[in-house]
Amino acid sequence: MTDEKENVEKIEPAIEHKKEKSKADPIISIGLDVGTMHLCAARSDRDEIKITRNVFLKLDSDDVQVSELSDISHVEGADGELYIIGSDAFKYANIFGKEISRPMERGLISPKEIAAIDVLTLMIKDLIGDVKGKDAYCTYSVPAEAIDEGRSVTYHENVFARILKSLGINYSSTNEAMAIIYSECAKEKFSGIAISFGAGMANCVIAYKGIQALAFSTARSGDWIDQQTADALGMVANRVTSIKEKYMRFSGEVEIKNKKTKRVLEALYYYHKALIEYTVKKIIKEFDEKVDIEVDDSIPIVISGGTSMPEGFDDMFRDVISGYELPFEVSEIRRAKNPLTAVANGLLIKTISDVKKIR
Amino acid sequence: MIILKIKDRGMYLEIPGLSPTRTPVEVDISKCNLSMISVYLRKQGIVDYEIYSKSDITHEKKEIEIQTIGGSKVDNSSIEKRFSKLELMMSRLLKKEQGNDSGNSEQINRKLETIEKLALKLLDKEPLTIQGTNSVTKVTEKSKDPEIEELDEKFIPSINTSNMKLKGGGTNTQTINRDKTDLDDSVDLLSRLIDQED
Repeated sequence: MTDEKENVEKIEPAIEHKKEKSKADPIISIGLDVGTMHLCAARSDRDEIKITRNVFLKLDSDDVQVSELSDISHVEGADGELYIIGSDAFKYANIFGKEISRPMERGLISPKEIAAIDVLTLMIKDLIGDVKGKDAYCTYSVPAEAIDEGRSVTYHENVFARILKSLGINYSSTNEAMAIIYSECAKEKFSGIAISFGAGMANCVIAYKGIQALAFSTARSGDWIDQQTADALGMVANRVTSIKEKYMRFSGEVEIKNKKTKRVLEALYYYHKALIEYTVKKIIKEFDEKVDIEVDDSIPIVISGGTSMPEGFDDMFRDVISGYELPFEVSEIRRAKNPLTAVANGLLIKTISDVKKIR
Repeated sequence: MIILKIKDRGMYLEIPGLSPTRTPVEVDISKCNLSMISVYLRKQGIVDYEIYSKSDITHEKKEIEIQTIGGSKVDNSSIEKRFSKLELMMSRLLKKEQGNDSGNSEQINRKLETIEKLALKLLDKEPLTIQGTNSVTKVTEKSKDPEIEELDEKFIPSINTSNMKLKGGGTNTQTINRDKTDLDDSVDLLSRLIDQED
């Protein structure tokens, strides 16, 4: 391990050390959204945000020749094992009739893919890009504890801290939904309710003037919708995901002739609605039971995450929530400017602010 | 010869390495692993048993190996010779004391005390390794186990990507432009809020 890697630490405790180092090294702030389906990274020195699928595919050397993978992002192991990483893994999985591996499951690091942490490290390295010779600070997203299942986020949080440390990056973690507040609620001085409908979890935060008043998650979100639909129609969940991403929308015309696809979309509609109902009920219950502060001003609800991508999802949300009496005043319900990148963008804002403070 | 003796009746034993037998029994277990036998007996719920050695000097003779702190070995044969000499001296002294030679009694006691002190000093010296013929090893060396924090580090598997190579083209990632003006404004506002909190 290099000296650089040994010196990295959590952002807060490393203040003094970094003050000395700043004279020599250019600083990079990074926001890293660690999602079940996507990994997303925003850097202060780049104008674009990079996204990749958080999946990989292990191939045997008999399956494919290395020369055939020259244009495909892949990892070669010491013993000749091959891993196609990111979005390309989906395509190759279909070719070889293999199941893709997902390092994360229901919002947290998957117990089935513990051995794949090394591959995940390289995927993150590839996404973040080169930080050699730079003083890099990263805030990565973590989900809140789920209220409907007993899994702890501690292991997950520490694994990603180790991954960033191994890449020589100073790290800190922030709640995923709070990052949406940083990204989308500046005009409300970081007050509002943010819901991140991801693939594995729905994360919710209630924030008031930049302070997190309540955060929780539920283990129902995009994957739950796909699995329920697949079970109802006797299909494979991957196929449902594919149809959802291609055709799903809640408003406007959809020209589909295939009857089976229509049935899938119908089922998806029902389960999206069931997911929103479930999440809204949980927000009301948690707010009633746990929030002590008096929120006098009306606050916005910001919806984000990959599951909120289909057109009309926000309308459906407005429709569902209008049927409930809420314990707070809502100023507006809006979708994040970009539901896929809002978390990474908010994390970047947090990192830059933290770095400003410590230097 | 090492003997296992079980007096209780009616138990059926299938000790690995020995023929199956019923209790009460007295069986030679010299060729068996002692710890394995005690584990087997415990598993069978047999607690009332004896393991003893029938005196047979040629079999019972123990090799004693003493290592200095630096690890350099002292020759076993010379140790044995010195040990025998010491045994002989002690037995002579004891015989003299038993013979009630009052004139020498005080002197003998002093010599015995000196030997006792030397023996204690020898025991305190580290590391001391004594090996018996049955491979039971007693090490009085201080534990070199790491501190708890070091153990934590040992327990967590390291992330090792040095043997892995990342290759291929850039078709893997999607890029989306971000709004830099919004970002700067948000950073300023959040920084001010963080300052106010402090």
